[in-house]
Amino acid sequence: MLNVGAHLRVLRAKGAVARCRGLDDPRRLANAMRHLGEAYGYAANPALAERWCLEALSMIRRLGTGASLDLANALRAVAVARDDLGARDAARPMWREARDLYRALGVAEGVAECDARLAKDADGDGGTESPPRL
Amino acid sequence: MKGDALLGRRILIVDDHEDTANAMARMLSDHGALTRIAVDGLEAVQWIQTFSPDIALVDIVMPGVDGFQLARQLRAEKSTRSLYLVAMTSWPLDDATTRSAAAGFDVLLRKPLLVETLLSALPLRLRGSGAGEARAETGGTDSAGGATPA
Repeated sequence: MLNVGAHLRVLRAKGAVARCRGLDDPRRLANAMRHLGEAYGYAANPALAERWCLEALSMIRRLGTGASLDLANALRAVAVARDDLGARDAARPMWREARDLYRALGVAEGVAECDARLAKDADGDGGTESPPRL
Repeated sequence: MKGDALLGRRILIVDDHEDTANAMARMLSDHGALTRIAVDGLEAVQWIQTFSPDIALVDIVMPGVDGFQLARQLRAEKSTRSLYLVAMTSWPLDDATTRSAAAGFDVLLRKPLLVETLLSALPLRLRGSGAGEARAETGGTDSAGGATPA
């Protein structure tokens, strides 16, 4: 069934990316790309979600801002997309890195979410590594 | 969605961000391509000699030898002059189109690269048997990406 709200969110996010491509502001573009990736996630398209979030992550790493909220949020977005894809082994290092950044930045909600995802992952696997789907 | 739009095509991905390169390789493999990844210009040259790609997808913003330098080197060599060179970037570079054309790229594409965008940029001789049916994994178009002839 078509999720109109999710579809509109994708369209708005696409528009934002298109606008940001015309600006000389890579950080803003990277965040717009992450938002588009998250919108694809809401629209149940985790493959596209991962692609856009990865590109946002790549840009933010290149910006070299160090331990930033942008970086933590981009890592979290990739991790969510990978979990949705069933690629939990590939998501795990992203959750860990995001958790460490959120902790360094004092974002308690971020730390709690990452811890919860990692704990759920460990419970779900029964302590064993599942083969990655990536 | 999987397909054979790039069946048998040998594609080299040159991108210093390995996660991105791996995701791209996975997508292209799903459409029948044989892929290799190089994380810098030097590794790209090595793969071009041993893997003989039909197409090289080159991120133009890389540390060390950037995509423009790599393209110029490849165009200067007789053995690699005819390689189909695709420049890729997600950076808002005003002069990317002009510079990529001057460096010898055939086309400039926006990242993240989608199969349908790549197919629309490739000449017919480089498309696989299923190219006409390709709709990539979007189930439609993704206007936030795009191609610009270099």
